[in-house]
Amino acid sequence: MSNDLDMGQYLDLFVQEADEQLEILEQETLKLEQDPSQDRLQIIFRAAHTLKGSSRAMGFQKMAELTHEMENVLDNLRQGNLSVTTPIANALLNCLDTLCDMTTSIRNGNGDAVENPSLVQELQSFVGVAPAEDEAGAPLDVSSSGFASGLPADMADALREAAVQGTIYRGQFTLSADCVLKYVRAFMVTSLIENVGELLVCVPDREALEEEKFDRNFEVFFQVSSDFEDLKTQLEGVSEVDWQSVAPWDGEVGTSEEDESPSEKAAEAVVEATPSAVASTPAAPAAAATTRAATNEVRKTESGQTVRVDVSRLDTLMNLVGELVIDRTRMAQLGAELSATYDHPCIEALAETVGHIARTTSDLQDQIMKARMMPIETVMNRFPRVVRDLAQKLGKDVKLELVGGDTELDRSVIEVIGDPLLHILRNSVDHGLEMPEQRLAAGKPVEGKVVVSARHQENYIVIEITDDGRGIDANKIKAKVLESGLATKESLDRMTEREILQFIFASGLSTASEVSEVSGRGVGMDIVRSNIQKLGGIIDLETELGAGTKFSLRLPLTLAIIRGLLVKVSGVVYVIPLGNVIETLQITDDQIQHVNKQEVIVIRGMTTPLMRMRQVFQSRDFVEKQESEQLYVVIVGIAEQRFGLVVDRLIGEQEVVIKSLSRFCGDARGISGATILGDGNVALIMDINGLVK
Amino acid sequence: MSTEATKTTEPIDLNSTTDADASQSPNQSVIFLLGAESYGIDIFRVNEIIRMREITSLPRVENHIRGLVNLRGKTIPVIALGTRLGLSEVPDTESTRIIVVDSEHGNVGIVVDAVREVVTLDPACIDATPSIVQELSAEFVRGVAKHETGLITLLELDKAIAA
Repeated sequence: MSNDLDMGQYLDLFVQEADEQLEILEQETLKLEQDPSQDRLQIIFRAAHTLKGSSRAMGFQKMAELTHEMENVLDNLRQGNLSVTTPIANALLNCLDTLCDMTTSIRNGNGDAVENPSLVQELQSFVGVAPAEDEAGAPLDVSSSGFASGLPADMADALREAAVQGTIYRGQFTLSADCVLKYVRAFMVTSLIENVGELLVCVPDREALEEEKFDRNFEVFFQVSSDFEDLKTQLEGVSEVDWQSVAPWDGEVGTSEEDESPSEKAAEAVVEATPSAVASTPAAPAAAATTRAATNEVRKTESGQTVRVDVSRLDTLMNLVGELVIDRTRMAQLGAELSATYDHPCIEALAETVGHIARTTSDLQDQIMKARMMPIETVMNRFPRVVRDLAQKLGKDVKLELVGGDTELDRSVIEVIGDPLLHILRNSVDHGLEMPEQRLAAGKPVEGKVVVSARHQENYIVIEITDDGRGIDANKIKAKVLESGLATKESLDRMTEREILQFIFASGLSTASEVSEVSGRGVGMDIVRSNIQKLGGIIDLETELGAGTKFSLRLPLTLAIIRGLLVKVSGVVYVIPLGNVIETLQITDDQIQHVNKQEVIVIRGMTTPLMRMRQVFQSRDFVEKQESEQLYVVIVGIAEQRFGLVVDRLIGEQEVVIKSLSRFCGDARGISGATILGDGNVALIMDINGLVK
Repeated sequence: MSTEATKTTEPIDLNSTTDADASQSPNQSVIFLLGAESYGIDIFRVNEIIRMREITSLPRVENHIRGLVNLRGKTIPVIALGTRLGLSEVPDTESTRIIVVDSEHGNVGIVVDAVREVVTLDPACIDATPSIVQELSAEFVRGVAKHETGLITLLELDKAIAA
């Protein structure tokens, strides 16, 4: 790059924009095969074009080259010279992968050092052109002629009215191709003009100039109160301007003298010059002017209503709110104690105030939680591509349905669930769905269906992945389990079908008869389980032979504040995350059975091991008290496993703020953290995962 | 220069260290009791001293970890220092205190049988070869100071509280 400017500060912006454009590209390209409409092509074209422009501006030539070739292919598709075929779609998707790699490499400070010459050739072979024309010339060939014919009629009228007051001048500027700070140059031009006169109209408008939402050209209409020639000289002094023309305006809105290209072409250039935001408004480019107007509208709402906030600030806010939540509970408790002891009008007023603070704190907490929420869409958006590639590789016909993408959950959870979900999804396509001929033979539609759905349920998010495939055969699993020595035949014989199915989550067990690239290495579901467990979630599956399988995940919405069930064991209050709680029971001793000296109870056909928490949690002050005849049991689930915890007393449900344990506490297995209760005492949060290990 | 450590009353008497080598900081220590013995830790490590309060015991942890206390909305771990050092356990009494000290992993409380005073110890009267300490493992001891009230075992705090 000829420019010495420090690119660092623009790099983040560039990468961010590239990510956005790549996401648009990927989503739309995937849909292209089913629906190669002009609108869609236009969106894809624009996104590729924006990427090309910004990568060129940042000096990433390889990226610019690749996007340029993509653009060529897309343009041919748009013109109808080519039609969308699987090889083309594949090539485009491959381009996206390479572009993603480039972006990653750029983000890591290594530039766009990802070579993929064969891809460029492949793209060129589609359009049948000789290798790329000269660098600067090719992509921007419309630039010098690309001035507005799209000046809106009302503006033109206004200008003509103003012309009565005095001469209107028209300035046309084309910035040089490697201009880094386009807005700065444009700003220099506009401020020079404003020093000596009045700026009437900018095309594109100032907002677009400010956000650099223009290619290289912009145009201004102005009146001057002082010497025009003087201004002209000043304007010529602005650097990084390739070409400019400043002259009195003759009232024509259309092409200027210098512009000899057909206006149609010029209009197209304007459309191309209003990039990224347009992609979110899939309007056909009916007229350049209207498209631009739409763009501005979108821009306005975006910049007016959102603000980017550092995640760590949100985390700090969350912690502060956590403290407030504790104090709120404490105040409520103190207020209750006061009113029980004394009778004074002030106490009633205090209670009201406390009530109000409680409500406000809850609202505050809700709002901050919401600020941290992201739609699960951000994760789901990766799925169509994966399923498409996988289906192609396996020779299967798969229809993927995504439901509830707007369901929101905390970003800390979003970060972790992507991979587990993807794994289950791969499994469903690879193992779950049958080959087309098998499906036909079974009287099913050839096209297999996988549905990923997300929805809120109380304080949890429930994600289900359902396929209409062959289902899981418990007998096969049994055989596999025996083979891999994970359990003995005797113990297997005693298990219910449901229990046997749980073995698919065990490590070292793969039910795929052949090890494929995608799954079947016997590590997948194991990792899924451990990831879900880390989040304090539950995973379960239902399957019916020949009809399909459904995996369901229940995950907490957030990891900082949880709802918990408070129980008492040996005088200490413990919090069991409600996400793990399946149900609570009251049983008597005679309901307890023994299997291999392990106490169990049978609930709805599932043999559930019992853990006497008094024994498990032997602490300094441990006393083995004779437990009463009535036992309180909390059935908890961790991933697919179920356990019954025998506790002394059930206290109730409460929202608690998780405080991590200090290093000095050593390895407190079974405890994930602590919290402070309303009475000021410390309660311990159970880590069901650590408990069962 | 006095060979005896100067007992300070507040405000702390800085004159007692004027003769000392400038590179050697005045050793202001908080002196407390474990059983009948006196121990000292650097005053700069002490955040505050609080009365005994409700401790939530942690299950399945080493014996010297008493549990967690609520210190103005934060949960901090509390260590039974006597147990940690291998001394005989003394039941909590009215004079039992929790000394909240700073560490690289945040605050931690240590339970002591009583807190006596803050003294300025003359580096010259600190014996860094603690052969006289029979009861304690040498790694926990930084030195032994002679003081008018008797011997004070200066603790290597980070080792003494390390998990």
